[in-house]
Amino acid sequence: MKHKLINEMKLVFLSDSRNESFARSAVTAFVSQLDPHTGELADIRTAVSEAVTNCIIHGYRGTVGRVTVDTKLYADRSVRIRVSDKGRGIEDIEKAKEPLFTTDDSGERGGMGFAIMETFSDRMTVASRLGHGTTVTMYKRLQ
Amino acid sequence: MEGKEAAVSYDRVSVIAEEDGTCRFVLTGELDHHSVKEMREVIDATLIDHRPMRVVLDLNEVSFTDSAGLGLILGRYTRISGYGGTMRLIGVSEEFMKILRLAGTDRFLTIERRNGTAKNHR
Repeated sequence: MKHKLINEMKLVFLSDSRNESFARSAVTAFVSQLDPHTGELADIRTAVSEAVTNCIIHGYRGTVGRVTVDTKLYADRSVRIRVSDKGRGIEDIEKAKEPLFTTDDSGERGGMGFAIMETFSDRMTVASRLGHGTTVTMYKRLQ
Repeated sequence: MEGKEAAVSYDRVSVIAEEDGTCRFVLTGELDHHSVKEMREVIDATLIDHRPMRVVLDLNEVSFTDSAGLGLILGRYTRISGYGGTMRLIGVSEEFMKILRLAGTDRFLTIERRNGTAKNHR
């Protein structure tokens, strides 16, 4: 059953790492309209940070592109957050989602981005096409 | 690093050499992909110059951590363990604890929670 949309917010910004903080702050401020618990808000903040960082690090890899964060709030207190880029895309989504898998060999990244997004939301889907970009959609129902 | 306590402060990190030889790094603000770079540079410069055998990463003043923060911790743990030193995390928030548990790192890191609860003390 489709629930009634009560509010929507869309952010579009450049793939500058300073925007990681901006994006998670903006989304949590918006979601606060549903009066979530502190823990729920912390989960959303972290999940958004991971998704946006992935766009910047993996999608655009040092090049400049646009990141879009579309957030919808529904009457049943559920939240849908869609984070997308038009970057390189992911070759093997299932492999990328494996905990501890990383394309980084410096030992400075734990490969936990997707695991965190998956754990901190109720449901997550990833759509990607090589050379065209990646869209991560996360759903969370607030108590 | 032995002798009197001394501190050097940078934008996001303070380095404190304690009297017992422990080197304490006090991290401040948000630990994300954008901010960890400076922290990593400051910490690593100290580790390379002084090779402290006892290191404490103090996270009491950290307001946010994502997987980039986890990467910072794991990278330093690998480096410090590599030369035979020990590392302890103090002031770990409930939110960051969730990430540490998810990554299984709570099994080998020495962690003290922000409320003072010891976890995995060695």
